[in-house]
Amino acid sequence: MSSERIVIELKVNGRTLSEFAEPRMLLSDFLRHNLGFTGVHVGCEHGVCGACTVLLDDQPVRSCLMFAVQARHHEITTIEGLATGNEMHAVQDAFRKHHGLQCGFCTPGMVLTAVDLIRRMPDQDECSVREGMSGNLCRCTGYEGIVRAVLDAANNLKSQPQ
Amino acid sequence: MKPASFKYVEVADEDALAAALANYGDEASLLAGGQSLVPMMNFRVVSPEAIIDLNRVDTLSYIDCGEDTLRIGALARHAMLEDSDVLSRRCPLLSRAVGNVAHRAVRNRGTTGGTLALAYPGAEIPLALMTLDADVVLRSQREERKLGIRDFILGSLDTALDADEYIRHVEIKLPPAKSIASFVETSRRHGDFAIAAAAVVAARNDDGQLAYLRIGVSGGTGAPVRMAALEEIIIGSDLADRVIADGVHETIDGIEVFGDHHYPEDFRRHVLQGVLRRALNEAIFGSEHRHVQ
Repeated sequence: MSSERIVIELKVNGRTLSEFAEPRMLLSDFLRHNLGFTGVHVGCEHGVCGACTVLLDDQPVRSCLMFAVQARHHEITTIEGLATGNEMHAVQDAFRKHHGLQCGFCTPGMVLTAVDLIRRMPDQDECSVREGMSGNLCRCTGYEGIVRAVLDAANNLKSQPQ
Repeated sequence: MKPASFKYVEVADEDALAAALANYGDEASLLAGGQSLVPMMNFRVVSPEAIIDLNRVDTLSYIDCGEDTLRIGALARHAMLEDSDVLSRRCPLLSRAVGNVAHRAVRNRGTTGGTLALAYPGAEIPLALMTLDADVVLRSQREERKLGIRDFILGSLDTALDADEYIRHVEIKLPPAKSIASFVETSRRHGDFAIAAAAVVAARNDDGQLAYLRIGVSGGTGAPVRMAALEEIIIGSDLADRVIADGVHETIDGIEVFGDHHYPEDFRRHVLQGVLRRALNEAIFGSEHRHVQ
């Protein structure tokens, strides 16, 4: 067994940060506990709930199903990196407007999943939103507000000049 | 819920991968997408001494579609298959199957080689590859060998992969250009592994006769099963509902199906018949329209 700590340098939200950790350190724990990105919510820790979803080179992944050491060659975006200054991302705005959250535990994963969904498929309807968001679990809202938020965000982003 | 300590070995090319496997053998697990291995490590169901990470071996990450043969590298992510235009045109069964695999965040990491090496009975891509009678190419420092998928997947979570071998790619003989594919599964929740799944590819000849038919099922069957006997029954028939229904009933009765505490054997057979009849309907009568157009 090797429990040697190594330097892990990651690019997160455009900044390069490094910390010591063992290779067995999960990306979710490393981001949250070592680097302080507490928006990475650690739920089930086996890839079912979607709360720890982050963007890896703009693609959503479960950060509990990767080791931090594997993320060295990639750019990571957490929920903290989504807003531009004080201006929230259109998906964040829509979640607030449509009550897409109650306790907020699932919200970072939901928002990042929705950002990717809308980017890949700008034309959304209720069915495609429900399918696209089905890998993220929410135990508060009953999903109605979340679905409305994602639909509204998709419409708003379409009408925005890119 | 944290993995036990391990030695992390990252390899950058296939020679280094083969060398690392020769060196660590049984003590190592290969880490590709990690979408099954890492949860098993988090639960400490497995605690490998060493992890050989092959995610940087770019030469294993491709989809190469020739005239008659499709090759998919072991490190091709499910999302790569999902987004591939050439795959949806030339091998639609794989496109249909991959859409049923978990969720996008999992498909962004999970790989073709990984799902084959795990050989989980409810997994979709192994079923599609079994239905298409794919070959699996394995490599080690000793040799490279090609196995038919029936000789590769030996049963539930059981493959012919030796401890020093890795999967290089799969090879699929492409179905006819005008073929129609269907993939139907039942699962408890969207994105879960299938309780039962059926895959069908059908094509008609210029006279409108059904000339090509590939059928496979999985879920409770150990390895996925290619239903060659049913293919023969249907291809030589008038395609009447009754003939297909009886054929499905008879051939599903004839395969080995395991029950468990969630899904007893007779329930599984019942669901297998249901998904298979739906998949057959969609592909066979879809191929009729395809021909007329």
